[in-house]
Amino acid sequence: MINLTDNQLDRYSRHILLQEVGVEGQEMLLGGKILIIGAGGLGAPAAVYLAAAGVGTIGIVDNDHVEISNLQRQITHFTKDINAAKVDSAAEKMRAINPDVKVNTYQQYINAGNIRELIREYDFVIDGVDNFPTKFLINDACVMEGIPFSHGGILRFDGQTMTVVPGKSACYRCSFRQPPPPNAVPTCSQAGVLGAVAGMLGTIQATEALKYLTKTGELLTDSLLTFDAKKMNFRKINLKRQDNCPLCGGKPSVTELIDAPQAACGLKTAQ
Amino acid sequence: MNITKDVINAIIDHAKREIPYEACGCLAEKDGIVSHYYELTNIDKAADHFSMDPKEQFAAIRDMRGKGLKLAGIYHSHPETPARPSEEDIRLAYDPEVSYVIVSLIEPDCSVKSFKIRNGVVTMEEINIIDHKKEPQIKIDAVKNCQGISCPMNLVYTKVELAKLRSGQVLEVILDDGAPAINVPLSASKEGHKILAKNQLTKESWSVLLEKA
Amino acid sequence: MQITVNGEIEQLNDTGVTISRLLEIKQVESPDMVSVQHNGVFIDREHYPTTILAANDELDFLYFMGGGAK
Repeated sequence: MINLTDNQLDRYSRHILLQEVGVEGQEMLLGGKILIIGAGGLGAPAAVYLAAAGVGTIGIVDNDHVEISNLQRQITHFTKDINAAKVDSAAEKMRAINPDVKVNTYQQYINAGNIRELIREYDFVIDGVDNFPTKFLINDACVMEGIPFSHGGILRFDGQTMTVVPGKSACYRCSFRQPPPPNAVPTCSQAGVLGAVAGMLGTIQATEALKYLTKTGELLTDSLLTFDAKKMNFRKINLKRQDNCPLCGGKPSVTELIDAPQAACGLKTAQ
Repeated sequence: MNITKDVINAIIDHAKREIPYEACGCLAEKDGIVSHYYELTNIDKAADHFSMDPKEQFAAIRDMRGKGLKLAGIYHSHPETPARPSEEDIRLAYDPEVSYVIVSLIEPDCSVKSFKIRNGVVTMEEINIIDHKKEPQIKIDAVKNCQGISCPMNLVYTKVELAKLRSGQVLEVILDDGAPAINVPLSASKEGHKILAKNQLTKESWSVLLEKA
Repeated sequence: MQITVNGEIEQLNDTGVTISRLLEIKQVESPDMVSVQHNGVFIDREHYPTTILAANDELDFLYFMGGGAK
């Protein structure tokens, strides 16, 4: 048992007061390790809440630098951080919120060659990336390594998220099979997004991670939560594992990780 | 329902005195513990049903208000039937908030049971008997002084101390009079811990003994 | 006949409506960005033109949504 200091008891008092979390749950959080892939619209709010919650180790992966167009929604990055590495900017804020947290930064692109080794060090992964090939890569790697993760997506005023517990619940490929054809994809940069919608989705993902670490409640598995912030309609679509899923089905065809051509989604040129 | 041993003994005694008729009365609580009772007259004088004397009922409620007590329950006895609500009891249960306590005299040890009745649905609730006289025998495993610590941090410290104990061990918490002395034991009991005793130490402080769930 | 699309009941006047046709009826802008679940079962894109809907079917359009790193 970790002995919480008086300072920590004060800091985490609102968690400790929850019957479902309590002292034990807070200790699980302090012993927990979460990897956030993408320090952007989803990753930034998730990083803030996970650091504030006292998750002991948080890894954050992103190769990009802060641009002024990020600041409308990527709340870990401030005006002074323009041109700084996103992972450094995010880490600085997380440490400032909570010095208890050990932040590991990875300023790199994730790819088929490095992702499995990276996620293996963590208990739970948050997908906050902006392109579909990488979303599929995260899904595939997490299923292969047996590490649960939260998928998240946003578009204009809409958001969607699901939690995947490999081997137990439907994976992203069960319902989405393969990345959409590159030309069809409206990226966030092209489509626009209301900044706070990114916050709504990122904080739902953080909530799932906290629930997972504290073993509280029921995870958002076997369902896709979608919302339309324009009407504030939320809907949960039931999903189930599909036996013909190319990854987690009976006869898998996806048996190794493949790097999707980065340029394919057109995102690297769309700013 | 938390209730003192004295009250339990008194209502059993009342039930026995009224044989062959049903006895009835009110129970009153303070800070989540039933500590007072009011014997009322069963104006029906019957062995299988009761009606409280309305005048006495109002007098009881007035007395509770004067003493800072709250109506916690209605008790009555079943001289010849088990301690469970009869159809009439369920039909006449008008208040979903109060507990309906039934003393059955058919068993030698006089079973006492408590129920909540909501829209005709009966749920039994646990009766936790608090025996003040037994207190000196309680072995206290840890003490936490939460005097001067306001809500909700006093509960945080109480939970931290409880987390260090094993199930069945006893924590004594010293709490400020007022909201802390009311809220902390109530919250702890909602999380499954048992209130073994609650005593006012001084004008400003209370001792609460909690048994870890 | 009645079917349920994205949780809402819809009236179809024609019979023999395929998933491809339903995507047109519902004016889905970019069908490539939609994954279709038919009574809880994922349907391969190539089967959209041949999967005919029956009364009381439940259809869910799952949209591809990206993230927000950029």
